[in-house]
Amino acid sequence: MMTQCGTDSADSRLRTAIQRSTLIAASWMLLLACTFAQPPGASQTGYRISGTVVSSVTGQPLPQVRVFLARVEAREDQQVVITGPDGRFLFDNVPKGKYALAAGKPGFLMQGFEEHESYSSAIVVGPGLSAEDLVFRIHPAGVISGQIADEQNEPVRDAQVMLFRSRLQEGTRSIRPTAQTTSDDRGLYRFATLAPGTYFVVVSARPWYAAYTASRNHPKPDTNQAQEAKSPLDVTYPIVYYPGATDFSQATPLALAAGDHVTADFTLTPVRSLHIRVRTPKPDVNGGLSVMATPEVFEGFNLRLPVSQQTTSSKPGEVDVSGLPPGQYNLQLFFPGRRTINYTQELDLQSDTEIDPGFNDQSQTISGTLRMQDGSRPPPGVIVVLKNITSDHGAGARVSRDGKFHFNSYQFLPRGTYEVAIGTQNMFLVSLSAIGAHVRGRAIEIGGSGATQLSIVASQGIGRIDGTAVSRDDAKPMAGAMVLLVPSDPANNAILIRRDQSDSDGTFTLSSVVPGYYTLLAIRNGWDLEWMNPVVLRPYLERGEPVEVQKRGEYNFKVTVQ
Amino acid sequence: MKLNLPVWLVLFTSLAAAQLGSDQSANPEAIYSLAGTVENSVTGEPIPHALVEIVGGSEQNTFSDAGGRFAFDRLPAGMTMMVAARKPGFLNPLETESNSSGVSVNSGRPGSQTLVKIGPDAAPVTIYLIPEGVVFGRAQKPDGEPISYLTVQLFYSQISQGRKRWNLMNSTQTNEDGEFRMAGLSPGKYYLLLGPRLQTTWIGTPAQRAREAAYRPVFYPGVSDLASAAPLEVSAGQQVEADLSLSPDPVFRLSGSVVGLPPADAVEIWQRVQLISGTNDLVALPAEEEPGNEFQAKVPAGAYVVRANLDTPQGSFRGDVPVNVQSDLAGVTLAVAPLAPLRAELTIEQTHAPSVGDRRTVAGVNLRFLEEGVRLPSTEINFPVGPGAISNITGVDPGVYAVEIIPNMPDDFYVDSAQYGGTDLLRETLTVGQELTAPIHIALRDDGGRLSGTVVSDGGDVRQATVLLIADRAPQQIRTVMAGGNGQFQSPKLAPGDYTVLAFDSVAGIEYTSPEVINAYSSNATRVSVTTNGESRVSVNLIRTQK
Repeated sequence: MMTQCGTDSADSRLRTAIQRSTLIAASWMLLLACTFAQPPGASQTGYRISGTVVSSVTGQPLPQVRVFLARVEAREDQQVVITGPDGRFLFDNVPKGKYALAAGKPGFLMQGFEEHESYSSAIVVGPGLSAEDLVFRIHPAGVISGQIADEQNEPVRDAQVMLFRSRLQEGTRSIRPTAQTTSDDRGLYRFATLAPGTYFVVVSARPWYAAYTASRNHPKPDTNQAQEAKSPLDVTYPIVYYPGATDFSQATPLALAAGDHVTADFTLTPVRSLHIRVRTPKPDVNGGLSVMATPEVFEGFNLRLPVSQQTTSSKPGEVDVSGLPPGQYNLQLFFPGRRTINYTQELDLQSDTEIDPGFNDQSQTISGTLRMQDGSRPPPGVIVVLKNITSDHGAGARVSRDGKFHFNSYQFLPRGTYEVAIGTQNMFLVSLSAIGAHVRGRAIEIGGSGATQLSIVASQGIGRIDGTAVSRDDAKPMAGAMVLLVPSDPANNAILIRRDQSDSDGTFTLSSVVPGYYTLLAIRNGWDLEWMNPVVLRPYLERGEPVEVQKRGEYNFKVTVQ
Repeated sequence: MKLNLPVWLVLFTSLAAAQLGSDQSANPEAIYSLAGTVENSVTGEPIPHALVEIVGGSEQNTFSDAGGRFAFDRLPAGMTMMVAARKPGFLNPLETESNSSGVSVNSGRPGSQTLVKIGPDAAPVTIYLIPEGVVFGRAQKPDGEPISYLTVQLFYSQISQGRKRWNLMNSTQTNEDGEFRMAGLSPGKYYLLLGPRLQTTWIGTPAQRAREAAYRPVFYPGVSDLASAAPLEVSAGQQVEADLSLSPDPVFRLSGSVVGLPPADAVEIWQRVQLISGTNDLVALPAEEEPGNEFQAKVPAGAYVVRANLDTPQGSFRGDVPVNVQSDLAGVTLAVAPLAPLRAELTIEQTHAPSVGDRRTVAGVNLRFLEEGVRLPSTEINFPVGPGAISNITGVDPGVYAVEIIPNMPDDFYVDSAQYGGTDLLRETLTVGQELTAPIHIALRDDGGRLSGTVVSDGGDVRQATVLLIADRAPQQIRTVMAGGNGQFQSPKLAPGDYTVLAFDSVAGIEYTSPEVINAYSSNATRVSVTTNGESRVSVNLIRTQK
């Protein structure tokens, strides 16, 4: 039985703006079935792509929508039409080929056709394939806004307001920053153009009257004495998670449906500011020491921007960092000199603290050698990339012609697990070993301090897989399926996974495939799956197809959609 | 014994004359308190929860209560202390002086800072805070659709050192609803400039392909030039709304390449290509730079000058080419040529031994280049020049400038001459071109004369005055001298010659570098001659500008 024409995958969550990405097929099997009996929409000189843009919430046609059409391989060359009152658009005289279709207007998100994460469905036109009467659903933009007031019920201006989003991305659910703004003179902030999803709002601010002076007495870490002696201006606001928690585990998520306007107001209450006193290496010099205390905002994620803090020097040999609310911090100290000294420490700050780092250059240094598998010299311009799997923060280092690379001491590389990759076209990592770090597949675990030496063997000649996703029932091409290429031990080799969405003719492309052994599979409604979870993925893996990709190999497979 | 001390409040708008300290005549053992209120200077309403600080020897702070009242206890007697208040939403005391636009600062009203003498009879203090002004609005297309990410800038003019200068007060961008808002404004007249907007938009009717379009920068209420613009008048505490409707114009693609550069190799070149519009040369639109010295831009139809400014290790280059864009225009050749630096050379003619003084200071001049014409904001380049080797003056692009030449040891030297080719910079403006020319030649001499005098007023005592000294031979180089409490003043070393002398109670807001403005006061001017190594005396009438 044919499924209905024009239905979309209503249960999918469409994401926000298009990124440059591979385009893969959409659920156009349905439309093809509808138009198959009709003459193909070919004019004398080309084909037609037409349809109606409607609101994903009301289903009503939308006027004044800009609709963009561009060839998949030439995205800058776009044609644009603007819909009329009936929401209709028409591109005619379109040569055959694969096209990216996108639409948007003020108040609605700019999105690709049948968009999922960064994947979208390309429209394929050609003999026997037309694309008329498409129904292009776009989401109204959501808004999260609110007012920030202080303990006197007066507006707080210039508060830093951050928006985090909990999303399923690359098969795992994580909370990541998505936007940031500051409150205005009325204490108002606003995030607009938001895609439907789950959000957290976090506020970091300092009272306008706060004044920090270097504490004159040495704080006794375990007592709360001398609080009365401190100035009433020596206060700060804690980092607040909506609706008013100071710990991220108590943060309340905001569920935003398409077009929702959600209000999230805050009232900030000052707390005593905590001080960290740092001893500097040379007792008679304190200039040049810079301290960055970055609080942990969500599990594994440190706010890169320093919390409102102040660094003062009460006397030579020490620096006072004040204005800090209690919390978990990553403390980084830089003392530039003939040799830049870095020092990193995790700190659970609950009371005034003294740090005497000793400055025995504990900075995390990462260096190493890269050699080519075939013994040749590495080509010029090769870059080794480290990407933190939790924070997505990445750093790169250039490889010299004799194969050496070194990560700059200023690059922020806190303790954690990092994927190692070659950030150069056509090159891939063959093997990885390390001294001073624990190797897990293609990832390394570093401690945040000390020296780490990496040994990388690399090779050139990535592979490519083209193919068609076909339906299990009738072996006909299926659009909109999620195609996945999974290596063995995916948890430790996540960097090798390739993904695509099948196009309107069922075709897909997986490029930059590192040679090796994989399982190729396709899932019909894979966009809501936490497929990085091995338990979730296993049943699909069992029904997938084992493939071997060799260097420079090009393949064409038919994959049955599960 | 109780001393019957007179109670006095000294009202200040500048901190310069404050003398904080203790007075021995009060009882040193006693402690006193001081009470007061913080009020809105416009409405008179009390301001709760303002931070009030008292400084002078010791420091204390407190917050005003719900009725705007505050009190300090435990203040030592006999101290003269400064009381100041602040709160968000009210202007910082220093800000209220900077945006004159003709507004007098010596208004006679107490400001947000007050000096108080502590004692048993110290009266309650009132501190006035000036509420901030706000400009807000919305930019939209004629059909009502909002225009997002449009640059918004607020400019004001100010007379500073006798010259009209344009300053940027604030800038922001419209949000997704086309709205913008700028707070923290001092009272004054502001000009609002909207645009440019980096992102293009699309216009068209449903039946055809849409066209790429862009918004031309406009001044409120929607004109392309500053002369036709209407200023927004913002008074203290006022929120002014400024909405604009802008229509996008179709853009055409302009592309071309920069020629005439030395070969690049792997050398870093900092490059900037801009389009300066014929109608509104106050806004430059950036062009996209591409590899191979190519550039492109999408602009609405009109006449433009495409300008390239490049810095390479081999020197600076610059070029202009006029274009008239009425359709897509490709292959524009922008030829650049080396930009020779402007240079200056200083000689010192010493006729007698230097005065006893700080020998560590080397005699020299400070050159101040002020671009003629309106620039938003006005720019100024300061460059010190010492004796000896020729200096390369960086940062002075081709253009026309007024140049001020100020000796850094004015009690010893005066500027005898300043020549640039055949141009006398003491009287004329400086036109800087691109080619290498002879340096500016400046000569200092030490045989100047001194002028001292008294500012007199039939209206009573002269507390303070600013005296302008305008040499006949150097009308561009006006010297200012402050007269003290009894009207007495003394000039630095001046070039011998005839001078026009004018004295004002305040020069704030007076564009005295403009000859027309000076001529208006000619009936109050005094003429005097300064002789070589001489001492001249003069008496000048005070011109009152304050009511």
